[in-house]
Amino acid sequence: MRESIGPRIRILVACALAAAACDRGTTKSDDASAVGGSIIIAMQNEPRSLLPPLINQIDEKVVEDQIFEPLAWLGDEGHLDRDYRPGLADSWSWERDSTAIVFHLNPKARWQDGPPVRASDVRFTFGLYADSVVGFKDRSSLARIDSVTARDSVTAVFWFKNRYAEQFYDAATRLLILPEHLLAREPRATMLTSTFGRQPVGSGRFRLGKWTPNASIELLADTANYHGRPNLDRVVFAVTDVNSLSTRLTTGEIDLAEVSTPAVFRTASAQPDLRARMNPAYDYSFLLFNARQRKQRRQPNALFADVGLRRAISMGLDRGKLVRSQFDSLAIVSTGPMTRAQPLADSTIRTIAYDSAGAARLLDSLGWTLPAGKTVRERRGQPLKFSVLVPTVSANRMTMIVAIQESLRKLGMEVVVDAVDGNTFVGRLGARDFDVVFDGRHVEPSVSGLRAFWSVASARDANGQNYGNYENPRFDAHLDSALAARDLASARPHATQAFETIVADVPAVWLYETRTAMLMHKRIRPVHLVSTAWWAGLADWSIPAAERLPRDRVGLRVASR
Amino acid sequence: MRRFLARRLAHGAAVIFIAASLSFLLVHLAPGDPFSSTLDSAAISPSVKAAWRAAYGLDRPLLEQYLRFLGQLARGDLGPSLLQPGPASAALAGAVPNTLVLMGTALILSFVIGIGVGSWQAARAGSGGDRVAGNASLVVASLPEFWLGAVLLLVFALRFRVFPAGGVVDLVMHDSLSPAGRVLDRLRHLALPSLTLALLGSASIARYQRAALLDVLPQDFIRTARAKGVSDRLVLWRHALRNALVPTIVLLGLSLPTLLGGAVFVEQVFSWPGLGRLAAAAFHARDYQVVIGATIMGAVLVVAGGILADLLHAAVDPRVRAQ
Repeated sequence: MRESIGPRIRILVACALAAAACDRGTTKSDDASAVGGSIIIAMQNEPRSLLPPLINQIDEKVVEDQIFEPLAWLGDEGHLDRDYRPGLADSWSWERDSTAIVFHLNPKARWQDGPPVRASDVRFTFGLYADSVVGFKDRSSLARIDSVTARDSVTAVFWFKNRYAEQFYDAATRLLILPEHLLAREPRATMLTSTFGRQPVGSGRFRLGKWTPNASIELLADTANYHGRPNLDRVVFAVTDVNSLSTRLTTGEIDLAEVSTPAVFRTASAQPDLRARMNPAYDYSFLLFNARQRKQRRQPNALFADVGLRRAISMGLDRGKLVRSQFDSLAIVSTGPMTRAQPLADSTIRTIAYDSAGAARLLDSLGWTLPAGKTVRERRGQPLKFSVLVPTVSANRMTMIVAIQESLRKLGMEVVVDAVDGNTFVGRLGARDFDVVFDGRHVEPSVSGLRAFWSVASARDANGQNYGNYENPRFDAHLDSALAARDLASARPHATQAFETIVADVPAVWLYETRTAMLMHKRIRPVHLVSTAWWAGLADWSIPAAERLPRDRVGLRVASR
Repeated sequence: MRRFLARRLAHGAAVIFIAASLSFLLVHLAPGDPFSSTLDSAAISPSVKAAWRAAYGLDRPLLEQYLRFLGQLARGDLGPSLLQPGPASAALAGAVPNTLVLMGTALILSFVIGIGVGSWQAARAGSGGDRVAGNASLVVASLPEFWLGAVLLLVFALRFRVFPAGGVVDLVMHDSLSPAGRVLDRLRHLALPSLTLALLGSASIARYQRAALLDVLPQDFIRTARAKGVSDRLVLWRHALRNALVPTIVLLGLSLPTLLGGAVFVEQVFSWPGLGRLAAAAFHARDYQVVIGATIMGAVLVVAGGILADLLHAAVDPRVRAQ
């Protein structure tokens, strides 16, 4: 039984419009000159595997989204509750009580090795992602999907445990559909090193051409794809060191790169052949206080259980100056555990303003006074001294912590920088073995991830990700209300209250949201530059024949040899 | 000579064994493991991580892992790579040729440049040119590899656009080129990284060569040659240089470990997919077997370099051979 209720109608209408737009984009162009060309994209970290459930970084996602497809793509505007375009499914509908979504697969869809894509592949994919042994790191986001069934060979049904605003997003976009016939026999505990991860076969419009370890991954146009041949012949992802990125962009060896370093951005964006586009921020960084004693979670932290001290530290840091001096235009001051690009973010929330004199007064009032002749404040003989855990792999954090250390020194605090390598950092973070940690998060458009990082349940779970042990049931209640709302408009007031609550509690000093700039050769004509994923429409990008470089004219023949 | 060689090989095998064992121990004692770096996430439960560790045998006692590793090593098997599918040896096999090409080219260039400059300096010892070249070689020898690489990159790739900035070949065009074009393409990509290593190596070699020539030039046989009317150029190149090459030739073997160390940095700067780059990525990801394999490769090069130096020394100096 299907029903047509208000929000669902909007989704269907939007989908129809998106499908029409998509058809224009995906159908093979009548103009033969639109077909051809090669794009070289810089990749900073080579993937370990191209098996989608094991995705860890954006570089992997960019490649995988060309080879595999979700049931639907988030649309260009990125509205979670209404803006989607078809992927493997060419249409969808809701069951009457909204606890099931029926996806109708495109009957022409085929795997790159020949067999048709079936609803059983969708069911298999859900089982794989949901299997804890596989290690999909966002598995908790699938917790509210009860099961997936195959109604017939081209109809997959997602059954939900309850209704919520992001049902469609979870079902349609989180899973890149995988071929059951190639993966069913793979042992799930060792998927990380499965051969499939290095020789993936999907239903996307590009297929893997050549993977040269430590050097490049070449994707070639799947000329027989049911959506139509991509405009580009090939996309090459070149593993590029950040130090040579600017040079390789400037000399034209690389056509496209995401840049997060101001110096590289300034140099490369000044080149006449390149155009720049700012991407919205989906990463934020912060100084996280541990509300509990290190390794003794039952005991409150001697320093940071006190919200007054946390507030004083936040007041004592001129975040605007810190961020500008380090990032120029590639970051903005963060306002809370969110980024402004998230649909539910509220940038009007009142944050703690810089006020060093006020911070000093607050510290005095808390009993942290500066004894005569000393440079570090004390309270009952205890100096105001603490360490900040910082990962050496993050150049940005390693640089900024020095400025933070100096700012807090002027306030009479002694900050010890505890710089450790990535593995140690992750281990100590998980063990909550720190006083303060300079941490960062990557977020999705959805705010459902907040539960894992800031909820009471996560704080009390020894394996939870609420590393700072922040606990406020009011925050949880507002967040739950936001997540349970049936659309974004009704979720927004609850989300705002949740953000206001956590910002007032100062579990962290919200430092910056980093934005990346995309630098792209001007001969490339991009389409579908989705705010959350610039690469989503790569197959529809083109290079006009008159502007092609020699490498654009190589064609597929040589590469396919 | 055979006994000498056998003894050196036995010593070399012991060094490699110790290096492999130390590498095994250190990498296992370092914080984290292959599943605690990029893959780590609290969303993945400890039981899952434990299952992964068990699947790859990392849950066994260290001694048991070590003995198993030795057993595999004795069979020439390093075990599976956790960075990529297949054995670690396959990952190394893909990277080692690139590093050997880079090192070999750099080695040849560094000796050609170093011997040339050192001889030129010795021929005009004490002159202004000698002092300038001496100071310049001292400065170059003191430069870090990554800095010199970055400068060459800026000058020759960015400013003059003579050479490409990174990679081994043109990622798109290479396969479409003629055989000669492919060779040229490889040489163009090889130019800057090998020049970086070569310049650093040649600075030291030039100083050795100059000193060796200055030791030889005052000797009687040189004076005799000059008395016979041989030109200065012939005296230098035919009589003096041949005798002054002995200490420099020994450097050939000893340069290998230095070159390998430099290659680690140069490969990063020039996105060169060699052993150093692979080892750095493997260490970051705690891909134990690849890290150990790369260490063994490094130890082999050091041992081989030492033996090569001894053999070359014996080959060019009859006194050493007699000993």
